[in-house]
Amino acid sequence: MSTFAEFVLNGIFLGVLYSLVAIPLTSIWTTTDVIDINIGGYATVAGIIAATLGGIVGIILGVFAAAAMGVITGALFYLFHKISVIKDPITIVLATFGLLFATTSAVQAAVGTDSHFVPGLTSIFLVSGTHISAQGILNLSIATALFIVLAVTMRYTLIGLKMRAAALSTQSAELIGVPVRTVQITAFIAGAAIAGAAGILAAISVGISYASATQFTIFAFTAAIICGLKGPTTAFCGGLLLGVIDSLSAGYLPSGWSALVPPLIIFAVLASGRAGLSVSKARA
Amino acid sequence: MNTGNLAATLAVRHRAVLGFALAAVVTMLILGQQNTAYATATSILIFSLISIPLALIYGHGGIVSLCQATFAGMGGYATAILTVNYGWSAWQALPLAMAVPGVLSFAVSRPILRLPLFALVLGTVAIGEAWSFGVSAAGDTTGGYTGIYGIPGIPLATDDRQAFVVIVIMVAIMIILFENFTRTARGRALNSIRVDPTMALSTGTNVAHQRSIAFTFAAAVAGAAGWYFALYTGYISPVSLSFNQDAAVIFMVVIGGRRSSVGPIIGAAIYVLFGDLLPGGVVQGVLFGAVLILILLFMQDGIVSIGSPLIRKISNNMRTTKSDQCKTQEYTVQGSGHGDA
Repeated sequence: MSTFAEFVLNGIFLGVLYSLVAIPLTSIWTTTDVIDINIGGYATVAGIIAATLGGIVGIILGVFAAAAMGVITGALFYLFHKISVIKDPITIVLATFGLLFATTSAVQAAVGTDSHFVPGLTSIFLVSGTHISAQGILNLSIATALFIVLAVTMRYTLIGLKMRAAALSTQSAELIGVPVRTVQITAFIAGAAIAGAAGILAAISVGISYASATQFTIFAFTAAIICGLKGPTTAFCGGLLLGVIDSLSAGYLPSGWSALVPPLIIFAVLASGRAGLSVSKARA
Repeated sequence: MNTGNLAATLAVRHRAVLGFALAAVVTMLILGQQNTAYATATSILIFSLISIPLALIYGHGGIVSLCQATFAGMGGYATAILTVNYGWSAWQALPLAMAVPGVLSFAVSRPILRLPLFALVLGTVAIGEAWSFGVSAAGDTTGGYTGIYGIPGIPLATDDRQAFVVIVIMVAIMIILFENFTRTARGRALNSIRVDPTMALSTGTNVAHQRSIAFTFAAAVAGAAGWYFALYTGYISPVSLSFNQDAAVIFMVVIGGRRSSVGPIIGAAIYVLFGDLLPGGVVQGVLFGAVLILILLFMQDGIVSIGSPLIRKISNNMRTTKSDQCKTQEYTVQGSGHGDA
């Protein structure tokens, strides 16, 4: 029983990392109708910078670097709508795929293929025969705090109201004076910063390498759609659920087979038609 | 219609494959009997064979697949397993090399393509991930992380030059299929789905079915490219045709031109030749990613669109000449008719 409980707890601690990349993916989707494939790139760059520079300076610069990448994606989104003849979201999704490709290569060029770590909390508590990691509790606390801040911002602040208006209908939002493009670019920047926080926590907990970018993106997709791509709440719950499934399959399935879990969940959710991809409604 | 007119009509209609054949012949004349550059030319054409069907479904159907190279990998592995482990001949392995990715893509895409096309983009990323893991974990059957060695060579080819001819023929067939498909009812249906799926649905087009068929066709052709790749290189491993190549194939299609059968060949040539010139895969990744974004922003129909006005002008001139000849013949016939009367 304690082994099972440990798997579940570890899954929750791992799941908050997935939640933190799924939440911005969902927020960007609901606000812009674009699936940002480079979401894993933001996380990886922030994690690598934090690991390379070290200390609080590394962590702050990591988050800033991720936000700066969000500025680039937001600027691209703006340019596609201003310049490009083809404005379909698929083209912009492909552009974010190009960004992911470039980001992965740039990270590999900068730090090689090894995993990098940020020193974290090493204490482990024993509660009722179950080992609980202090870093895991810290991750859960940070992720929950970020989620609550985002939920409150979306629900009770002016920028949150504007984001929800832009998500419901860009045309109606423009008619009532909402600067839709500014709101959408803000969604990219804020989303990238949150994903950056996830990358730094991942660098502390499990380590990070250039290959993490694609893995983060896959986990973000899976966590975002597992409870339906509707809003930050479903993304947060989806991340936790994915973490628990991932941890249990790593514990009970033959070695390495847990890698098949995210793709299988993606297929199952997409085939069931419950991914929530057909509508974009923001719910905090 | 006399022979001259027929030839002009065929030349205009099949200008893409004729241009390709001419380029292949010129390449062979330049390279001669034995030349290491055949390996580079063959690589370009293998990537072309993988990316042309992607251009067909993306440029004409709006369907984006991020696992086209993975489908080629499936074909390559099917070939390797059947020829090395079970002693099949290369020809016997070809249908299965196409069927494996074809059937899998149909099974996966059929339910997903009822949803917006985003869903398929995610689904194809998942296919790539699942395949990458599955092929490494399958143990002796796939050779694990090492892969499978000792795959027999290309049938009918004893050297690089003959192997080049085989891939030239395969790509030429694909170009003809591409050009003909866009003129068929199914091709027009696919285009109408891309422009307005709701309108296509209202006119009786089964949107999900048409998209699935196109996606399956692209996967099957990629399987054939994988068959050739495995036979040509003599080995296949999990990294031979994986995520990096999936990204590269998208790059080729976008850079070259997504609506054209020739565009992906130009894209493949740029990718392979610049890949050889640039220092290391890392610099290539950054540069190709940046170029992909710039092309998507400023040149949506790719590099091939630069030459399109010129080609269109030549084609129009040929049509005008043909039309003038027809009018001249009509007048001649009418004139001789009056004369007889």
